[in-house]
Amino acid sequence: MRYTSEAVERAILELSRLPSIGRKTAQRLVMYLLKRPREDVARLAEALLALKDAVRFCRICYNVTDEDPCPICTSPRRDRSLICVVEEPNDVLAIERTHEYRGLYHVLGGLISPLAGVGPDELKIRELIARIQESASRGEPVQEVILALNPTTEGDATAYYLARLLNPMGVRVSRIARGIPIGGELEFADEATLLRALEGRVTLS
Amino acid sequence: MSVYFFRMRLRSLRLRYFRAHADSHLVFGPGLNLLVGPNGRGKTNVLEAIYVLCLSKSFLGVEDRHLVQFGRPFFELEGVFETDQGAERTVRVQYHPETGKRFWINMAPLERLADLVGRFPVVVFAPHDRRLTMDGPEERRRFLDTVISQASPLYLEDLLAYRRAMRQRNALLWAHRHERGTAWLEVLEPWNYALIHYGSRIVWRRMQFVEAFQDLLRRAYEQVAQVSEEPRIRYRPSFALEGAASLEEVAERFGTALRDIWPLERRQARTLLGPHRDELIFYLDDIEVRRYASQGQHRTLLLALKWAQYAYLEAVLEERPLLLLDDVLGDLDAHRSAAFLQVLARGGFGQVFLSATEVPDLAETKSEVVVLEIQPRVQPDPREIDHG
Ligand SMILES: [Zn+2]
Repeated sequence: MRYTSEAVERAILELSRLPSIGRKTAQRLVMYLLKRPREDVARLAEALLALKDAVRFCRICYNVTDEDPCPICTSPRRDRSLICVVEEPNDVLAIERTHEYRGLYHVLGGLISPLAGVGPDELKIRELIARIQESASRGEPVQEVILALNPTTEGDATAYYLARLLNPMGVRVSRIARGIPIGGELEFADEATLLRALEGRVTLS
Repeated sequence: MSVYFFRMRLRSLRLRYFRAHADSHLVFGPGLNLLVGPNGRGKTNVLEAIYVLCLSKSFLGVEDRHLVQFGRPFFELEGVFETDQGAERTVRVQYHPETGKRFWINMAPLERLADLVGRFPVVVFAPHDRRLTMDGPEERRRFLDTVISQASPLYLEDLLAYRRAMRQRNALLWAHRHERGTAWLEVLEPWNYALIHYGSRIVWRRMQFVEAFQDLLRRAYEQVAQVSEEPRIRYRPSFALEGAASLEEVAERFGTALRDIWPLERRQARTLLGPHRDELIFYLDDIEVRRYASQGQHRTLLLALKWAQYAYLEAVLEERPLLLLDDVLGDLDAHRSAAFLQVLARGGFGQVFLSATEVPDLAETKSEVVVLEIQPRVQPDPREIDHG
């Protein structure tokens, strides 16, 4: 069944491309938007465009930021010998909420997953290696890399791959302990659980 | 016999748009529950629903979307479990094609399958089970997984992770099937690691299970067979295990075997070794059951396997599983079916759910029997084949 309006069809199609939005949900959203005043819809459209126009990725850690490099990377109060590797920007937010971690971050942008066509080259892995090498030549070497990757099969494989790359470089590689339920997500773990996981990290070698 | 068994029972069940049931509500007794009704699908569907609440899937291997009543948007099941200490657990499952299957226990959503499986242990015996001793190895692997998963939530986690790792590894092998260079092998490394890590944990658990299960099977067989044959199970993993006495050694063997088979895996572009290729072989004395046993031997062994499965879960969990018996009387003559019912009613079992076409003669049984007439306003489902 198709709507007689091409504009309605197009909006439904675009919305249903979003993760976890099926066609039915998209239809509901479109009907809702149709009933809103024009200003409301314009505000939404602007916010979406601003995402692409204003938001940038930090050239050092690849977190989302309005200024590049990001405030965490430029902060003088951060411990530069420590890098916490995470999957997505949301994970940075989750760890920042604990107010305990004082090191830097590195956002991979995903996990290795052949099924999804994601290999090491699609992630910011080469950038991580370069960053660590550069820190050593600058005289403030990274001492420890903490892998805060979700405890999924893909998280395990990515951690294994990174540990094999980083170990020969003379940095300590650790993985946060499995305080987080298996299959659970970092993003949704509460602060206390995350804190325990950070404290109980184990060295990978 | 002073072992105390924790008692858990299913007090009531509600089925919404589930198979033949548009909206049914059933209240069960603590002992033998007879589900009686005309030969349709209503009775079996009740057993299926109980199984879904306990293990998340149908025992008939039916896909979730086919469990939804034809023409309906979703199905929902709600079971109220009760312990002998009076604690209540309401398990709710809802399936919708768009959102998938979701579970709640006492209103709290479940995040992991392992939070459900094993909490309400269950053993089913249905005509479909005949495949266990007759068909290919897949049925026997499913048997292993169903029993061990209920005894150990970690096993289930490993199983899910292993399947995922294998699919990832296969995708990688397939994507690089025409590649001449070797640089990509570095990317394969983490998946070899994951495959071996999870795979060896599964093999190790299966080894231990089979060892513990032998004795239970022997005793169960003694009880159900009229002749003195000795059943034996041989666990045959896809790689040579001889002498492996620890998890580390199993992992080592798996790693070696994987290296040896590499040229073949490369050509076929898929994972050829691991627990997904395991086999379980049943013997009666020295006769391989699948190939040489008679119909009667198959039936007796199957019954013994089910009793032993019940005994295993009971011993490990210190709890009596729910026992679901689908149409087992249909195969027996009047005399045997009376004897069978007596065994059930005599106790030693917790809550039992038995489907039958008519109310059997229960004069001999002393314990409380609840008879439930199952006659939903049946709506024919054009997709259905009759499961009998
Ligand atoms: Zn940054």
